[in-house]
Amino acid sequence: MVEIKGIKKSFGGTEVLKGVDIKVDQGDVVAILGPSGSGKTTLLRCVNFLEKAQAGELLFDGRAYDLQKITKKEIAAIRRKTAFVFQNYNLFLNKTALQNVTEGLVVARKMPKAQAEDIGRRALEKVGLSDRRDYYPSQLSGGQQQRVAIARALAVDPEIIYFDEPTSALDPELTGEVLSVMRQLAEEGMTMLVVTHEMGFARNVSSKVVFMEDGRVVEEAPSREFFESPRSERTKEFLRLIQNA
Amino acid sequence: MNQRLWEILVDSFPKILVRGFTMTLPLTIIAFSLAMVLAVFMALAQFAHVPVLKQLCRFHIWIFRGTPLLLQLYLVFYGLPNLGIIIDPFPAAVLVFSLNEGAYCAEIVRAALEAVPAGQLEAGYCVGMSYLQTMRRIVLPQAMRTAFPSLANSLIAMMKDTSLASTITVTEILMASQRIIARVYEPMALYMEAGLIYLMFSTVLTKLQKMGERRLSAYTSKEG
Ligand SMILES: Nc1ncnc2c1ncn2[C@@H]1O[C@H](COP(=O)(O)OP(=O)(O)O)[C@@H](O)[C@H]1O
Ligand SMILES: [Mg+2]
Repeated sequence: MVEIKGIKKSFGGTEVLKGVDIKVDQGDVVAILGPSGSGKTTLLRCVNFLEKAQAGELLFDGRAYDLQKITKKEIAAIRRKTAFVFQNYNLFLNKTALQNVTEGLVVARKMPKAQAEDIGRRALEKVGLSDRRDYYPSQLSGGQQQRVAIARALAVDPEIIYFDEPTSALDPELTGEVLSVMRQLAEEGMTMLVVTHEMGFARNVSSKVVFMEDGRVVEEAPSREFFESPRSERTKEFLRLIQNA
Repeated sequence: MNQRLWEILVDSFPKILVRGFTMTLPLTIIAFSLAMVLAVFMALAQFAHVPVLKQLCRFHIWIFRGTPLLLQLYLVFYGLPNLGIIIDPFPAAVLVFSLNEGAYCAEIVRAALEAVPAGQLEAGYCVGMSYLQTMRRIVLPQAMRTAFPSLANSLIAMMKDTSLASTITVTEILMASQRIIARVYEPMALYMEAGLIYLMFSTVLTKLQKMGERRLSAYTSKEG
């Protein structure tokens, strides 16, 4: 469904991604783990063209795209089939919760307003925020904002949703409400690529774990295998560290 | 206060006020509207780094912020005729005030655009919107909200600066009072009266500014 091959990215002189391959099949929930600074955010940003990769290939919907030669048109077409959930939500600050969800439908996809609002209401219901649809982001808690962001992602009926540490900006007591929405999506078969520090989510919800360090994939394995019988020494050390934390 | 002075004041008040409504106010409103169009256009061209246009905008801002407004009025009204370009007083004033005010407001709007978090534009891309769509629907409205108080202050300042248009024979409030002074020779009383009329106008504009800010505050306030 989505496959990234040999992606490379440098900022200035420093190489942040040194050739990363990741494959996400339909219905997969792939968790990307790794210490901070290992290039996880950069990877997601390259995959959704918020950064331009210096090398690499993207296989999307059975078509291969050279990340250097991809055209604006192709980028726009792929973006209409994907969604992105940011670490700091990035809700449209001048729009209500419902407008945040419908904006991409009405403006980018030219959907009639009534139909978009219908979809928007259902998406907000799904994340448990029907009663907050006319609130502005500044009037919502962090957890609520992130759930609106997930509703906004759902509304466009994406083939895959990218999450960049969706809970790490939240107070600990608010992470649960976001994680449970994500778990529900996973159960419904949504394809997701999730950068996270939530080990519970990686272990229990994701189907596959990719462990990154220093711009490379160190280990990639089905979740259970990753946690129960890690192969690389570095992974074992990482797991020991987080278990002691 | 003696009887004569009082009669002069009562007699002149409506005459000056009417100039406020027929000259000062139209000049302010027309010039500021044009200035806003110019300012948004120039701010966007700079924000988006449009080649050539961006340099032209910087040049325009450099010239109009770096020279006196009074000189700009003189150049257009008294200078341009040397080149065979003759513009009536009122349009000349509109031209100078809108170009000058546009330069200042462009900087206000540009700063406000730059203050919008980069994530807003990225979120727009991620829901499938184009650069222009996101600018129009998300970034610019937020920037205008941020810029509103400063723009309103500029409007009020410009309203008072229109008194400079008297030097190019626009019969606005100041010019109207000067004409009466020339006749009755009571500068103290009549300048006070003109000041009072400016004060009335700026008070109303300040009230409008407060109302506007309250209306716009919906998405920045914490209350439901
Ligand atoms: N825009 C940027 N400019 C320069 N360096 C960057 C930029 N974005 C990220 N980096 C660097 O790239 C490295 C990887 O960052 P990031 O992808 O955010 O890691 P992670 O998400 O795994 O914590 C870091 O060393 C970071 O400083
Ligand atoms: Mg990160």
